[in-house]
Amino acid sequence: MVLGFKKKKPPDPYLTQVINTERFRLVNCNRLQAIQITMPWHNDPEILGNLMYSKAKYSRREWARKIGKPDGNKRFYHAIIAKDIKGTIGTHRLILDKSGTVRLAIVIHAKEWWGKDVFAEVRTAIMDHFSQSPRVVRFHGQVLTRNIRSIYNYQKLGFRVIGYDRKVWKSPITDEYEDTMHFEYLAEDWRADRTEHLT
Amino acid sequence: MTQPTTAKTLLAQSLGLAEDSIDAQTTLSNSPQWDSLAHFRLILGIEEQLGRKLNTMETVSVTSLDTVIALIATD
Repeated sequence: MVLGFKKKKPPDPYLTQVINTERFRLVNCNRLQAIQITMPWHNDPEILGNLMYSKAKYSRREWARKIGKPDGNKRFYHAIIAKDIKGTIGTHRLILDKSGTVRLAIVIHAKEWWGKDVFAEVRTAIMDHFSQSPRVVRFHGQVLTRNIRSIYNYQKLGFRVIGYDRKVWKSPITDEYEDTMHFEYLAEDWRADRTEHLT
Repeated sequence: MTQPTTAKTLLAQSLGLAEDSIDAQTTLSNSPQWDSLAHFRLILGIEEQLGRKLNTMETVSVTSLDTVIALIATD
């Protein structure tokens, strides 16, 4: 038997491009950068809870492990950089699996930007970009049932509800089990809907 | 108050609009005032009106005046 190391796939040259929106630059990060840009919320129980992390806060070492290995091929962390202040206000995370499903998550840690339509602008640009890749088949989001603002954001963008899980996540703060909902948008539908919207 | 009126009042208060500007065409996707904060207020308002929390499918059903009327009518 021949034992060998699994060859690491190189970053995808298209998917790692910088994405520009009207107000933001979305810059793909390496591991160290991903740790840096997520540090503002690594011990924020509210944000970690909404993302269904198993702890309410993490040490820096634990957090570095939790981030995993953003490789620009299957795992992407985008810094959301506001052009006017030239600062990072949040993070967009995508995990692309072998079957072409992209799992999405977004955090706007700069709370002064809450309620300013950051989600819609960033997510639309990300999906416009990623849906052009032949590797991407489907976008998927999982949201806690009590996270009404996120549910609104997915619905506003036109995601379909495809199901829910009962008592799937135990809150580390309340020790109660919570339900989540699943949202989906096929890449081909996104492309078609956007073309229709823009023409 | 009848169910349609209650629903209209709830929606108008949540969106910060006059009641007479709310009609069947007022939906989450086409009303600029229906933002995430307005949606949050609306869900809380419906829960207060019903005296209970909305379940998962009820929460996602709230997308228009008609769906708010239907939700209040089911209770």
